[in-house]
This record gives sequence, structure tokens and C-alpha cells, in this order.
Amino acid sequence: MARRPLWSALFGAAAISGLLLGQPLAARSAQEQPPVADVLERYGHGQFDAAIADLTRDRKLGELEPRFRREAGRWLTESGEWTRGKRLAIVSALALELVASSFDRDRGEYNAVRPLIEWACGLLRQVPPSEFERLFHLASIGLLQGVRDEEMLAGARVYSDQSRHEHVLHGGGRFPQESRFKLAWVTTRLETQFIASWPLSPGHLLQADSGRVRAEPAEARTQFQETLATLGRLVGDPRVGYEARLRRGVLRFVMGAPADALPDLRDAAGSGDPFIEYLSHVMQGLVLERTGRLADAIEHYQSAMRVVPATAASLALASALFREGRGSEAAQLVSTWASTPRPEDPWRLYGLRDYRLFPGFRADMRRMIHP
Amino acid sequence: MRSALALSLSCAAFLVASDVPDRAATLQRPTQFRTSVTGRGIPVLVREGQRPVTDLRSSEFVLSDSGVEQEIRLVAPGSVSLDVSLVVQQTLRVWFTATDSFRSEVTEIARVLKKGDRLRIVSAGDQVEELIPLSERPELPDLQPKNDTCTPLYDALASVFMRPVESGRQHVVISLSRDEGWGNIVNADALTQIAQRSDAVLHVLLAERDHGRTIWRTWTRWPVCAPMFADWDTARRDRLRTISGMREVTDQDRAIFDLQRERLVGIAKATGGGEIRSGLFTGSIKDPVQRVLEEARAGYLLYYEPKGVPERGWHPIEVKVTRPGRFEVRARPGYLN
Repeated sequence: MARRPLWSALFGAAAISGLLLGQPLAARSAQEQPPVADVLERYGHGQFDAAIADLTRDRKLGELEPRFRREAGRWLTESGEWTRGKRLAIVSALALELVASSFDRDRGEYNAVRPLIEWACGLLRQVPPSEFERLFHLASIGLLQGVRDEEMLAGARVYSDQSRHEHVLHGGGRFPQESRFKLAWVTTRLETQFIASWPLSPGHLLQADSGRVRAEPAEARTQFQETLATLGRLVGDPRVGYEARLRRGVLRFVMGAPADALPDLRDAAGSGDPFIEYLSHVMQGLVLERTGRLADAIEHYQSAMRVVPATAASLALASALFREGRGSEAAQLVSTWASTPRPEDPWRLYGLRDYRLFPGFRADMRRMIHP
Repeated sequence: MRSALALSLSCAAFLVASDVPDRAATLQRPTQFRTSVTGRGIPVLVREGQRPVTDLRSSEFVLSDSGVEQEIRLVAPGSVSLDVSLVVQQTLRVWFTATDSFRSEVTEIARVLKKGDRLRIVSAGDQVEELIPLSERPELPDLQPKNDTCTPLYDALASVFMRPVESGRQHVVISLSRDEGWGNIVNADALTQIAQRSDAVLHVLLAERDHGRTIWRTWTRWPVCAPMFADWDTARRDRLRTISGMREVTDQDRAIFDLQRERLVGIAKATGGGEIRSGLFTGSIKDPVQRVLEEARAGYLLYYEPKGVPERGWHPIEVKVTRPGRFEVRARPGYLN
């Protein structure tokens, strides 16, 4: 007798159980999901993580996205404990958190929920600007930068759907005084996102994602000069000036002009922001290495280590010590960090721009919803 | 640093077979000597055809440092324990982990270690991470595929090259990677200098470029780390342009892969190692790793204290065998001090 395939047996059992229970399996599955309205209520009452976990646990986000829009849209119009403004804040914050929850999943899951950002953004822009909306833009831009969704940030044709968004400009248009949106716009240019310990070819800087060299150097250099000029207009800004200096210095370095990079990097070291200070010291060390001043570079790597004891500075320091003939110090350093948990490395986060600030922006949004 | 290996430990004593090639005899009549901070240990493999030659005496070697013949002491094949550092690029680790083969591969590799040998595994991902510290009984922790976007192979290699090695041991580094990696802070020049100062011997296994990519590409976050290959000198850039053109590129991935391979293998050769070309990743990595370790065990360690040469700078080394015959001698071309 021929053996029945396993899938056939399973399908048969499932069909039978569905018939016995008198309802299709898909409908049962939908009924098990908590109503979006309930989740929004929980979120609004400060049960943030529990609400998100309830909504996303064991579920495909792609299936959730249309249901969230539909049910959250309905909930927005209901009367009850909260004003429409508060409800709008809850819906848009939760939409953002749903997108964030896709980060450790498959890219397809992210693609399925990313339209929620523009949907929530559209809702917020129908009412007068508020502090919550400013936070929403800052957080959503940080999130999009974290996943490098340049298409949604600035309309770059990264995706095949050819849709055009310019999310950065939505924030910038509503809050023209917020300089982080100006910086976010400049940093949609690829050449501002790369940090390296050696010069990168101009073609690479423009086509980095594919790892291929396509652009002609002359064409690239023209664009870089524009970018340097735009960053230059931000260096005097009290809110983003230090970061603009850092990024201008790094760009000059990777363009092959380490000496021109040094003044900006030196200034950026006074930022007070550990992310910027750390990178400015690491970069100054790299500049000095390239000009043969290994001993001076070591001092900068040590300064970076004091700010954030992260991998890049540790390795740069150990590498410089080793090459200086101070092998036992290098070995000690490497042995120590190999066995010790290390903090997130700003070196790695550089290209992700404001993604590092996302947790702070999210916390601020949550506080506004439930102090 | 003069030597990352044994010789930096001035009070170390270990077994040598001064002029007695037979391993058993060596073990029965151990000779001890003290090394100094100025000494060097050079791993040397001698072959006659495909067969390793393991019965040479120290008087049958001539070692020159910077053109000046040196007095050597010899450690016979089989007398040295190995410290093996396996450096695995994150993309490959993801592939291994997703296909559930990493644990069995590591177990297999651990089985080919001999008594006294030790294994360390370092992963090149967002963090350069020591998955297994140096151990005679390596145990792999539970691993899940990680959403890492950086694969800094050079950083991971530098981190193991700089590790100290106890006296009487040889440090063999085996690199499993798809390329030079993204997000390195240690660049090619720095790694070359570190390799030239280190006493570790590097062997590189390069996977075909598409390995691991399918899995890697499905993660939400995309890589933002800078790759190594942009650091070309003019000649290399010209070569790439010749191969593929700057605008319409059809075979650029291949060209990039070849250039990276050339540079990595160059660094390996600077340490006395090289590339292992063995159809890697079509099957188990155990066999190629075992071959590397067998070669290391079949080799000699020649120790000497440089005399009559400048202390600093590049020291070219030449090793010759005086016994009549057609011998192939493999040793590092020199070291940086």
C-alpha cells in the first residue's frame, strides 16, 4: 500500500478539526488576535511593552498592518477617556513601535509595516503641529535611518515599488527651526554615512550599497563639494553643529584629504556628546597615523577609550601599540576586551545616523502619552 | 613588540631536540634552554615532493637574518603544541548556524586536535567576539543567527595576531571568510605590519562569494560599514577599470573578490602561511583544517637570537637545507621589528 504523504495527513487532520469546530481555521486564527482597540487602550495606560508584545507575538506583521490601520482608524473616531489629540498620539506611537518591532525580523516583515510611518505621519499633519509630532518625526527619521530606508527618507529609488516619499521633508516642513531635520536631509547622501580608516574611492561612496564602483570620480567630487558646503552651513548650529563638523571631517578624510579633516575633528571633540567625542578622537588618531605620528594617534585612541570603551577604539589603540613595539600592552588590551562585554560601538553606528537617539525619542513620546 | 609568540617570555623553558631529530629520543632526553626578549622562533616546513621531511638536524639548516647567518636551536616536528585560532566571518557563521552545521564542524575540528593543543574561535561580526576562548576542551555556546551588518575580518585577525602565545607553542590562525569584510578599523597596511611582527602563521580559506548571502540579505538591517576593497592603490583601480569598466560592470564582483583574495593571501604568505584551496564549503571544513594542522605538526621551529643585524626595521629571513636532495622549504619571508 502506498504511504500517504505527511502533508496530506496533516492537511486532512486540520480540515477535520475545522469542520468539527464549525468554523474555518483562518477565522479562528483572526479571533485569537487581541482587538487593536484593546491594545491601544493598554498602550495609552502605559503598558507599552506588554501591548506591543500582545499585538506582535507569533504573528506576521504583514497580516497585522491592514488590520491595524482599519481598527486604529476606527478607534481614533470613538469617544471615551481621551481626546482625539491623545488618541492620535497613541496610534502614531504604536504604529512606529510596530515598525521598530520588525527590525529583528525578515526584511519582508519590515517592508510590510513600513507604510504605517507615512500613514501616521499623514494623520498627524492634518492637525496643528505639536511637540508630540516633532518627537514623532525625530523618532521615525531615526528609525528609518537605522534601517537605511533612504527611499522613504528622501525618495531614493532603493526599492522596486517606485513609490516616492520624502519623509524627512515632512518633519522639516512642519518644524523649520528643528535643525536635526536639516542634518537628516544632508545625511541622506551616502557619502555622509561612511566612516573608514582609509580613503574610499569616490565611486564607492556614491554606490556603496551594491559594493560596486559606478560613478565617475569627477561626477562624485562635484557632489561631495556640494555636500561639504551644505554641512558647512550647519556647523554653527548649537544643536547639530558638532555632528556637522564631525561628518564634514570624516568626509574629507575618506575623500583623501586627512590634513583638511583635522580642524573639524578637533572641534568636534568638544561636543560633550559621547558618540561625537569618541568618533572625533578615533578619527584624529587615524589622521595622525596616516601622517606617520603613531605616538600622537595612540593618545587620541586612549581619549576615545575613556569616552566609550568600544571595539574600534580598543583595536585601533592595540594595533598602534603593537606596531610601536609595545606588544605586551597591546596583548593585555586585546585579552581584556575579548573577555569583557563591550558597549555599542559608535564606529558601527555612524552610518545609522540618529538611530542611536531613537530609544530616547521613543521614551519621550511614551512619557507624553503616559507621564 | 619583538615577538608575540613564545620568545617574549624571557624565563620560559621548553623542550628542544638540539641535534637529535627523533621525536621519541627528544622526549626521553629533554634539553631546556632559556629564550630572551630578543629571540625569534621561525616555523619551517620542509618537503621532498609531497612528503614532509621530519628527520633533519639543526646542523642541516642554514638560517640567515638580513643576510647574516645565525646560530639556531631546533625544535623537532611533533614536539610543539598548537594554539589554533579559527577566525570566522559573521556571514559564514550565519550560514553555518542557519544550516545547523557550525556546532558539528567545531566538534569535528576539536577532534583533530592532539593532546596539549588548544582551540580558540573568534567571530567577525558587529562585535569581534571570542566565541570560544583558548581551550583544550572547546565547548561552543548556543548560537543563533545574528542580525550583524559588519563583518570586519581584518579586525578579528588583528585581535588574534596580537594575542600572546606561551613558550613552546606555535600559533596557527585559520581564517574562514567570504572577503576582507566590512567595517574594519584595522586597514590592510596596519594588518600587514601586525602580521609581520606577529609569530602567528595565517592560512586563509575563502568561500565563494555567494555563500551566506541569501540568508544575510533577508535581514531587515542593511550593512552600512565601509568595505575594505575601496582602499586600492592606483594600479589596482586601473586594473579593475580594465577588467570591468567604471560604469557598466558585469563582472565586477569577481574582480573585487580576486583583488581581495590577492591581498589576503599576500598577508598570509608574509606569515609563512598561504591559501587553502580545497573546494571549501562544498562540504566539511574539517579536512582542510586538519591538513593545515598536520603540516604545522610536521614542521620545525628554528629559534635564534639575531646577531649582527640592525635591531629595528624589516628583517628578511632565508632558510636553506644543506642535506643533499631537492627540498622545498617553506618559512616566512621575514619579520618586522
